[in-house]
Amino acid sequence: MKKIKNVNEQEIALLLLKIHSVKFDFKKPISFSSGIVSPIYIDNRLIISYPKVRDVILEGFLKIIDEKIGRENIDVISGTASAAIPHAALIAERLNKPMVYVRSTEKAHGKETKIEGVIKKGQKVLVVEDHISTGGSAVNNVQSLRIAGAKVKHCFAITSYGLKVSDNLFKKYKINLFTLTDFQKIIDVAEEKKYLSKQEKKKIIKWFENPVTWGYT
Amino acid sequence: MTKKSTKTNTIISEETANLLFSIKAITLSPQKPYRFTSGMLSPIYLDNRLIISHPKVRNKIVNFYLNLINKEIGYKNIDYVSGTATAAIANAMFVAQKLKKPMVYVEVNKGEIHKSKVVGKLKKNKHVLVIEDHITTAGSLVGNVLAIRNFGGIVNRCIVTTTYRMKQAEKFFKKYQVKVYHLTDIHSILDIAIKNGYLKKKERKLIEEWVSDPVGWGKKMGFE
Repeated sequence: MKKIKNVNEQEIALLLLKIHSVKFDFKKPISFSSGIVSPIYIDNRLIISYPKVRDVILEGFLKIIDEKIGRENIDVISGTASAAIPHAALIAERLNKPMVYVRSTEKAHGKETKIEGVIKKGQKVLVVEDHISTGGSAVNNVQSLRIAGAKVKHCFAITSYGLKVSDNLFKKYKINLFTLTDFQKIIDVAEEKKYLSKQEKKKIIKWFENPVTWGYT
Repeated sequence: MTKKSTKTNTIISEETANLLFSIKAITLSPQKPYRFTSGMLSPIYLDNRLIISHPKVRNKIVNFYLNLINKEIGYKNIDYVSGTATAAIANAMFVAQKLKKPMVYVEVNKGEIHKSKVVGKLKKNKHVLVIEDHITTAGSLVGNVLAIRNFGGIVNRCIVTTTYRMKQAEKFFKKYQVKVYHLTDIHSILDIAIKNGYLKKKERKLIEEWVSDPVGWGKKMGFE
């Protein structure tokens, strides 16, 4: 198998900018389901259509597993439906480990999560997300696995905004989050490579400092 | 199809059925039928999503996919692999990764099939192989195919792990001009079920009747 050289966080940020997984829009900021309005939009679902980028992401995840967790400490890989299923599948295939995925369905009274595949009590599960904005869906995935009797300590995501709201959630639910790149590196690389002007970068930093009120000031 | 490929396909078909029974992805209950959330009664329950949790079975299934693609379609005739969300996304990813091809998936809108959505980056005029985990009436498969075509992709062929070979599905394939290959079908599944003792010979007809008339079956058999 072709060996992919270790790619650092800046290089991953640039790849995401190149395939338009990360986009900026100051005229029409995007509204999240949480109500937060944002000038930065991340759609990591595009990655699956670029085999080389897909492999870089996979190698990045494997590196974290080998350096920080250990393959022997993972029994099952769980992806959050739908966006993280492909990445969970790639990791599971490479490690030759079982996989499940967790999806949430709309019910008459709110949302209900459902695990697809087999989970046995006591299994150590690694949760894979594509992107963390508020962290809500990652926590849902983790909690439904824990209710099923699994042990979940670690969560992977390609990107995270690194917002306080998600930091607090992960702390509260005792989940270690590992990401391949983060907000700061993305905007640094974006400025360096002219995806963002200096002025725009400043605006984005303001958003980061206070995402909830940013859209209304 | 050559004689040799027919023989290989029979081996794949029987082996797939065996594998699916071994992980309980297929279960039969002709005397006490299952009730689907839609309300419909069925003597057979199938959940191919379980495959992802069994690496050995998963690897074999993916190899069968590759075997079929190589023989019937040719790797070079495929630019993209498309899976139907959510059940076939993982399978499509396994296949796309082995072929080193781009992948997309389709979120099928069952109410309005023309509003189904392609996720990922698909270029126009590319040949797309659609992968589905199972076909009952083929509604979601058609949703996937139409979404790709609406976007400007070319789809002639699909591969599916299992199919009940219902008449409505076959009609759909003709109507939308799509050739569907399967790893295994209801005939092989029932052959293997009888061979392995999961089903009595005389119960076979009960399940075949469900396949030919799934909606009316429950009443006809006196279950409701």
